[in-house]
Amino acid sequence: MTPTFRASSADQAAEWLTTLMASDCGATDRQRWQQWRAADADHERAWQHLEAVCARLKGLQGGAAYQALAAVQPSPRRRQAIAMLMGAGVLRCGPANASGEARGESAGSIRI
Amino acid sequence: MSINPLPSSSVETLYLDHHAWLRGWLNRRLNNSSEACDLAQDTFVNVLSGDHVARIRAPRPFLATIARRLLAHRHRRHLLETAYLDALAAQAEELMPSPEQRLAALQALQEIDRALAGLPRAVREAFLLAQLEGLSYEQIAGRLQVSTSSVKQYLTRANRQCLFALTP
Repeated sequence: MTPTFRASSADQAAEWLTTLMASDCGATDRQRWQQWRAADADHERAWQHLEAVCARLKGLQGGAAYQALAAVQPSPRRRQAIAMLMGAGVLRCGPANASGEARGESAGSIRI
Repeated sequence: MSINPLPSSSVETLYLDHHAWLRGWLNRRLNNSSEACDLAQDTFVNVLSGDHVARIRAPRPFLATIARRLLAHRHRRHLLETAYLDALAAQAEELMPSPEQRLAALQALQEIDRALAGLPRAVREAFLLAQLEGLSYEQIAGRLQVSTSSVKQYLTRANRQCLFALTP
């Protein structure tokens, strides 16, 4: 999935969601949140993404989904696989070519 | 999707030289030749989708590492499925989702599980309790034996990582 908004907008949207779900969230918070959304179309896009994903999660409420996820142990991050391969000397360090460097994170992840 | 400038010849060589070996390697672990065949295929698809081929120094350990992770992934999917079906079995009959709903839910559970990968246990748990169980921050703080402000920090971190890794 290619994000259509900036990482900073995603950071702020994640913080706003935490604020809005708190029991102590008041009218002032909600007003500031609306101002944040209106301030930049990029903010609004990030927020719309969060709302849509949260709606999908709502469909999973009712106990069984929580119990299943709570029953399995947290897993390590997939990105760690590549560090492991390099540590074992299976892969040479450094990008395969110049474009590999430019891709940054994607160059360092094995998609599994 | 970005298009990788793939050195296709080296992928071909990798496949021709090591595919049969990988199938055998997987079959010794799975004791099931058709599953071994599928997973060998998946391993090469995985190699194709990365851009590491030109850097591979030791092909068989490389393929084995990818295949081992796919095996672990398959095992995790199985654990999630079993835990989900067990939880459903304990529920009232009228709450039982249809087979289509179950399949969609399992798919979503796998996506969430992957999106939460790498987060500390408490952060993961706080997220699941808030988003799937609808607990208040105070209730979560009580369960995890941490302050409410810690719960907020956990949730912001998990919201950022997980919710933006998921598709609507």
